[in-house]
Amino acid sequence: MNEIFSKYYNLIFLLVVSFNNLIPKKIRSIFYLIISLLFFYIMSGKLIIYLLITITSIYISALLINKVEEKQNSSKKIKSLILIVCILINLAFLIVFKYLKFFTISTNSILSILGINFSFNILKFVAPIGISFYTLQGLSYLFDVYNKKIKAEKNFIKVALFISFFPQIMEGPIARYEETSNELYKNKNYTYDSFCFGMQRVIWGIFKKMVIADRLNIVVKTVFRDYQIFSGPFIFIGAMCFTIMLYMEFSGAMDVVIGTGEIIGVKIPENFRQPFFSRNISEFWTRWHISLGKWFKNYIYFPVSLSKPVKKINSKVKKMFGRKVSTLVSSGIALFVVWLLNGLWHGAGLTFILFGLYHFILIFLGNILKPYIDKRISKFSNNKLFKVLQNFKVAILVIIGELIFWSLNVKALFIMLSKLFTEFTIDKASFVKLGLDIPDCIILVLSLSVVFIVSLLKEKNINVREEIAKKNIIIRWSLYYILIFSIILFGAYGPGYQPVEPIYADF
Amino acid sequence: MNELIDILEELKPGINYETTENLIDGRYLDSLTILSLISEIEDEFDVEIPAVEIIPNNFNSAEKIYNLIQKLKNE
Amino acid sequence: MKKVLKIFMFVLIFVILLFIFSYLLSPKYNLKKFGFVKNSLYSILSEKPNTIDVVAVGDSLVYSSISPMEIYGEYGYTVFDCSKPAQLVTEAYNYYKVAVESQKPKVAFIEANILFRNISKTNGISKTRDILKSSIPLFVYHDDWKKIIVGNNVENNLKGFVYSKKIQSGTLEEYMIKTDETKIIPKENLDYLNKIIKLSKENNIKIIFVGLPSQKSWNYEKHNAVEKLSKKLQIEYINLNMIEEVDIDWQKDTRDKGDHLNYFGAKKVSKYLGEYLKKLNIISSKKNDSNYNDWNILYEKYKNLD
Repeated sequence: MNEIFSKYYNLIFLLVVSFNNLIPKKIRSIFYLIISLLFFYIMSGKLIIYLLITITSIYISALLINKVEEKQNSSKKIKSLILIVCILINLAFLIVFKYLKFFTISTNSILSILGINFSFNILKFVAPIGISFYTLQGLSYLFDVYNKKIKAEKNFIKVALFISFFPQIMEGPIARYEETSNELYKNKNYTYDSFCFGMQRVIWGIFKKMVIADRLNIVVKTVFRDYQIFSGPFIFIGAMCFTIMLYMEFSGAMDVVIGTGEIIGVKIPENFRQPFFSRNISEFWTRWHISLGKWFKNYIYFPVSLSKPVKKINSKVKKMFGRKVSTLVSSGIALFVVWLLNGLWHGAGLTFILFGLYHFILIFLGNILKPYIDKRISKFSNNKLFKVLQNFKVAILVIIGELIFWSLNVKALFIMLSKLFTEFTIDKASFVKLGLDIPDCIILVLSLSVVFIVSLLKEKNINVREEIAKKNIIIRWSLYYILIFSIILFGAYGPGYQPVEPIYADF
Repeated sequence: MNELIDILEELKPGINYETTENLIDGRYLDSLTILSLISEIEDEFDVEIPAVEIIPNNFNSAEKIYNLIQKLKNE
Repeated sequence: MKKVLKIFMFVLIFVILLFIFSYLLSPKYNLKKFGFVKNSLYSILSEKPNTIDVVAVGDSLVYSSISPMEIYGEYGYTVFDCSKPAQLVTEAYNYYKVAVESQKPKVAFIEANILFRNISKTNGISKTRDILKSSIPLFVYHDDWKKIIVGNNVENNLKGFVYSKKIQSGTLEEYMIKTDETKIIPKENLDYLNKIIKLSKENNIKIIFVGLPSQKSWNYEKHNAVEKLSKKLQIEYINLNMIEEVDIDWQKDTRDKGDHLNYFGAKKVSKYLGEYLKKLNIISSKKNDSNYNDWNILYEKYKNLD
C-alpha cells in the first residue's frame, strides 16, 4: 500500500478537514502536531520513538549551537562538536535501519573472497516509514542554524511540527525551515474556495496514481520479474512504463500533499516542474524531485566543492590548466560525492549505487563536453524540432537510469542491458504477456495525453487551474465530474489489479 | 562593479547583467557557472566565499553579488 | 447560503451520475429482482438466471480450492463459488438464499468449516467492505466498461474462484491426527444450518458437506463433529483432507503455508469434485449446449491464464 494514497491518509485527511476550523487558532499547531504523530504512529507503530528522538535531538542541538554563539569568547570547536554529535545520532538510525543489511552482506562477501572463514550475522530492522525524508528535513534545519541562516526555534512544537508535518513526512517534499515554518503557523481557516481549489489538486493526483500508475504497474511487475523471457524492445517498454509509473505515482503523491496543504492554507513547495521538457540530464534533476536536488546542492555540492582540500586542488589545477579545467575538477569531485550519496539515499544496494554513478557520469560528461557542443548546436538551439529531439534524448537516458534503479539485482541488470542491445525480436505473444488488454491501452494513451497537454500548457506558463477557474460553472463542473468518474470507472483497482507498492516512501 | 560584470559576461554571455534581478530564480546561472564565478571572484577580489553564502538572495543580480563581495571584504 | 446550495447541487448531480453509471455497468440479469445492493454484494447475480447447476457455499477455502472452470472444462458442469473471506453461517445462508432465488441449482456443496466460526464475533473488516460495496455498486463493477467497448470477450469471469499461482510450502509434517475428541458446533450455527437444509428441501437441492484441504483450518476434532452431524441429518459428507486420492502436495499446492490451496491444489480438488458429481449422475454436461457458449469462451481464456 502506498502511504499517501492509503486509507489511513484518508482518515487523517478527514480528521483534519472536519476539525480544522473548529480548533481555536491558538492551539491549532498542536492539533496538527498530534494529527501528524498519530498518522506516523498508525503507519510505523512503536518506531515513532525514533522520530521523537530525531526531533528532540535536533531541537536541543540547535538551541545549544545558538547558546554557544551568544557567549562572548565562543569557541567554534564546541559548536561543531554539537553539530557532529547530532548528525551522528541521526545518521546512525538511518544506517541501522536502511544500510546495515547491505553492509553486512557486502562485508561478508568480501571476507569470503579474502578466504576468511567468518561472517557477521545479518540483521535487518523494519524502518520507520519516511525516515529518509524527515531525517534530511530535520538536518537541513540544523545546518541552517549552524550556518546562521536562521535562529534556533525556542518553541518545541514548531520544530516538531516542521519535521513531522503529516502530508510531507512520508514522501516529502523535503522543505527548508524558511520555506514552510511561517506557512505552518499561519493557522488559517479553510474556506469554500481554498477547499475546492485544494481538492482539485488532490483529485488530480489520485487520477494520475489510480488511472495511470496502477495500470502501468501490471506491465512493470511482469517485465522486471520475468525479464528472462522478454526481448530487448520489451525490456525497454518495461523500463519506460516504470519511468512513467514512477513519475505519475510520485508527482501524483505530491499533488495530494500540496493539495492538502492548499486546503488548510499551508503552502508546500513544488517538487516537480515538467521534468520531461528538460534539454539535458543536469536540467532534468533540477525539475524532478526538486527538493532532494536542492538539499544535495546546498548541503553537499557547494560545501564539498568549496571545502579546503578541494580548493587546494582547484588552485593547483588552475595554475597548470586554467580556470575551465579547474572548475570542472572541483565540480566533478563534488558531483561524485553527491551522486554516490544520492544513489545510497534511494536504497541500500549495488543497483542504487550504480544508478547514482550512471547519473554522475552523464552529468560530468555533459559538463566537460558542454563548451564544444554549445558551439556546434548554437545554430539550432532555438529550433523547435531540435528541442524535441533533446527531450527525447533525455527521456531515453532517464529510462535507462530507471532500468538500473529498478533491477532486482546486478545480474538481472546486466542481462537486461545486454538484451537491450542484442535481442531485437518483436512478437505478438510478448505483447499479450505484458498483461494489458486493448481497453487498458486506450485508457493509458488518453489519460497520458491529458497529463501531457496539462504539462505542455504549464511549460508555456499557462496556469491551467486559473484558466479553468475563469470558465463558467457548467464547464468547470463537467471537468470535475469527468475527472472524478474517470477515477471511479477507469481506476485500476479491484480484482485483477494491484496498486503500486510504495516506491518513494520506502527510501 | 565593472570588473564583476566583465567576469559574468565572459562566463555566460547574452544576459543584461545591469538589469536582470533573478539570475538564480530565473535559472540563468547553473551550479557549474556559479562555481566558475566564485573561483574568478576569489582571484579577482581576493576574498573567500564560503558555501553558506551561496543562496539565491546573494546571487540573484550583479548588484547583490557585488554587495556580497563588499560584505566579505569588510569582515 | 448560495455556497451551501452549490455544494448541495454538486453532491446531488454526483449521486445522479453515480446512479446512472451504476445502472449502465451493473449486470442486468437480476437487477430488477434484487436491486443494486444485492447485485454488488453477491457476484452470482451477474450470472444468467438458471444456468448454474452446482453452488459451493463457504469461506475462503471454497474460492481457493474449487475452480469451476476446471470442472467445466473436464465435465461440462456449471459450478459457482458462493464464498467470501471468513464467511459466517448467517452470511452463507443469505448468499445461498440469493443463489437459490436466482438460479436453479441441483447440488450444493457446504464447506463445513463455516460451522465452527462463531457468528457472535462479527467480522469488522468484511462488514465495512460490504457496506462500501453496497453503498457504491460502481466500485464492484467499474471495470465492466471494457465489456461495453469491446464486448464480452475481455471479461475474465472465474465464477467466484480466486486464481493464485503463488507457492509457500506448508509448515506441518502431519495434520488430521486421529482422536476421539469432538469440536463443538455452536447452537446458533446449527439453527442457520437447519434453515439452509430447509431451503434445499423446498427447492429440491441435494446438499453435500465437504471439508476442503487446509492444514490450518481443519483438524480431526472438527472432522468428528461434522461426521456425527452428517449421520444424524443423513447428509452426505466428504472430507478431502482425509482422502488420499486427492493427493495434495503440501510443498507445492498451497499459497500461504498450508492454509489455502493455490491453483495447483485447486486443480486436484476440482478434478475430484467433478468426478464426484459425475458419479451422482444428477446433472448433465453443458459443453455442447449452444446456450452455454460464453462458458466455452471463458474456458479458453482460463486455459491461457498465466
